[in-house]
Order: sequence, then C-alpha cells, then structure tokens
Amino acid sequence: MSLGLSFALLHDAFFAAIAAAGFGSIANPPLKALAAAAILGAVGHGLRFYLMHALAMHSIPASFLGALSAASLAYAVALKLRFPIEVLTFPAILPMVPGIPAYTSMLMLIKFLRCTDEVQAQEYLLAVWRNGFSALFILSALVAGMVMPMLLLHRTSQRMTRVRASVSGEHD
Amino acid sequence: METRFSNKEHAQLLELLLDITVQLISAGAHTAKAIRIAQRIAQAYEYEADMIILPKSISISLSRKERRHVRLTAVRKTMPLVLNSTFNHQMSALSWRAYDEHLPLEEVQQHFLHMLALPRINFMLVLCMVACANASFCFLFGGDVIAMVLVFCGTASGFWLRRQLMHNHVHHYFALILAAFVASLISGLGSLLGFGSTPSVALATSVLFLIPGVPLLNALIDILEGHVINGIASFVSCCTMIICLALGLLCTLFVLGVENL
Repeated sequence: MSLGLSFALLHDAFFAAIAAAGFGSIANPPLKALAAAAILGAVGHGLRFYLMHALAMHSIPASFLGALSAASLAYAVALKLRFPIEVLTFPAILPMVPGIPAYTSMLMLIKFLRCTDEVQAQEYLLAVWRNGFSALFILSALVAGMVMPMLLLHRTSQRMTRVRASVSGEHD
Repeated sequence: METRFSNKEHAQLLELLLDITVQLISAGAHTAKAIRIAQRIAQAYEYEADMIILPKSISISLSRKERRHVRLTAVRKTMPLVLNSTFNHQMSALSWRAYDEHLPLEEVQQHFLHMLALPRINFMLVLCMVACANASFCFLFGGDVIAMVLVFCGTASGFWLRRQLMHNHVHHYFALILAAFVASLISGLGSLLGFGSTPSVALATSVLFLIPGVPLLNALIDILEGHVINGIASFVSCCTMIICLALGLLCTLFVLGVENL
C-alpha cells in the first residue's frame, strides 16, 4: 500500500470514528460504549475503504465485510465491557450508510419526471435505477453483516450484563 | 382461602414490571429484550410473567410459579420513544442482579427510580457531536471543507429546530419535514452562492442525521426474533420518517432549483 493511500485510510478511519461517536450520542449511551463505538466505526469503515481502494473490491461486498468486522468486534467488546451488543453496533455501522446513491437516485427521479427530451430522460431513468439499486443492496449488505454475529452468537449476547458468570442456563 | 388481591407483593411486583417494561420500550429496547428483562425479574421472586407487547400498549399477566391460577393481569399505555441506552444497559444488569443475588423488591424499585432520574448527556454537547458527525459524513462521501462547514451548520440548526418543535408538541412527522428542510437548505447554500466544489455532497449528507437508526435496527431484530407484528409496525413508522425527511430535502431541491444540481 502506498504512502498516500495509507494516509487517506487514516483520514477515513478518523472521520468515521467521529461520525460513529456523534451519532451514537443521540441514544444517550454510557461514555465507555461511545468510545468503543468510535473505534468500531473506524475499523469497519477503514476496512471498507481499504477493500474498495487498495483491492478494488465492489462497494457491496466491501460494505458487507466492513459491517461484519465491526459487528463481530462489537461482540468481543460487549463481552469485555458487559454492554448489550446493540448499543455498540448501530453507530459503528452508520458511517457506511449509502447516502450519496440514495440522494442521487432521488434527484435523478425528479429530473426524469421533469424532462421532456426522450433520450435525456432514458439517461436519467438509468441513473435512478443504478443508484437506487446500489443504495438498496449496500444497505442490505450492511444489515446482513450487522445481524450475522448477533444471530450466530444469539444465546450469549443476551447475558452480556450478567455479573456472575453462571453456566446453569435454566433460561435466558 | 387466599383471595386474588390479598398478596401485596404480587400487585407491587406487577406494577414495577409494567413500569420497567414501559420505560425499556420507551428507551429503545427491542421487544424480546424488554420481555426477557421483565421475565427475569419476575422469576427472581418466584413468579412467572406472561406478556403481550404491542406498539401502543403493554400487558403483563403475573402468576405465582407454583400456583399458576393465582394471577393478576394489567395493561399499560406505552410512552413516546426517547432513546436511552444507558438506562437499558443498567436495567439489564439490575435484572441479573435481582436474579442472581435475590435483591429485595424495594431495592430493585429504588435502583430503577434512581436510574430514571440520572441526567442525560448535555443537549448542547449532543448537538455539537451530531453536527461534527454529520460533517465527518460529508468528508467520507468526498465533500470539501466548505461543504463540511455548511453541513455542520445545517445539522446543528436542523437538530435544534426539531427538538424545539417537539417541545412545542408539533406532530413529529411534521417536525421532521421542517428539520430536514432547514438542514438541507443551509447545507445547500453552497450551490446557491457558488461556494465550494462539492455542493451536492453537502446536500446529500445534510439529512442523514435524521434517519431513525436505532428504531430501524430494533424493527429488524424484532422481525428476526419472531415479534413480526411489532417489527413491521416500527419498520413502517421508520419508513414514514424517512419519507418525511426525503420530503424536506425535496422542498430544498425545488427552492435551490433542480436544474442547477
């Protein structure tokens, strides 16, 4: 990886951390959880940036892997700090939400509806579908990546806040 | 013969469980989690709680473990959503303590009231953090410094406006449309005045802070865990909110002129 790319990666991870902490703060989480969410956000978005720019991966699988890594790490942190996992996951995933494709799709839809030139209109329509689908599938990939660790580790994630490490397991 | 209402503890526990469940749902816990916590506390005192949670109401039927026919049932209205992860986290921990350490019921009640009274993170601090977060978003999407500054101002104004409107009991969907309009209009000033090279990035990022993330995630978890009706209900309300913020953005696009973007 070149120096320029490493620098860009650090930049990306830094701003992703701020974004994760900022959006996390709306839900009034414990401060430790907020700091953890910032780190998770940086890791998830940083990994996605690396996959997309250094390995030229498509944004959909890259988003999936980014979300998966953040959510899996969230699980580890949640075990360590005894937080329920959903406090950590969402702010970490948020910086990967496909805002630009969603916006472009909407803008192009308006342009398409107002357009009278047939050829131009087809171009707009194509942009609506391309961006709309891209937003939809990136979002689906994020959701899949985020939910997967929660489902796989379903039983333990419900006992995150238990102090006594009991193995009796009569119920959740 | 024991009558249904002779047991004070039974009624007291039922009230406490209703209070706790209402607060948990209001603080943004998903359905299965609220049910688990309430049932765990009930079991700590040798009771069983059977629960129905609907979007607007909660019902608990509490019976003695060894005498299931001695049963009290009550229904309570839910409260509006005010996210509070700290409360959910502490409540979950408290339920485990009650279960493992057999805390007296009064102590659980006191802890619960104490948690409710804890102050939230200062509003102005949250406002600054959200504005910084949205400006960072703008950077991640490829915006320049001017776009970031505009998004910061737009987000701060939109966030503040939404809170003011909600305080004045404006309908929350309408508050959302107005907040999205103001946030995107201020963020979009760059394209109107010709500042910066990435005005469209600023516009696209400006309303993202209004996306109801935690409720959306909860809707998803509800559906996955089998609470499909609750999941669909909160998913529909989240989608309505997203449509509202798109409407606010749409107004801005028309004010700024679609052809210039």
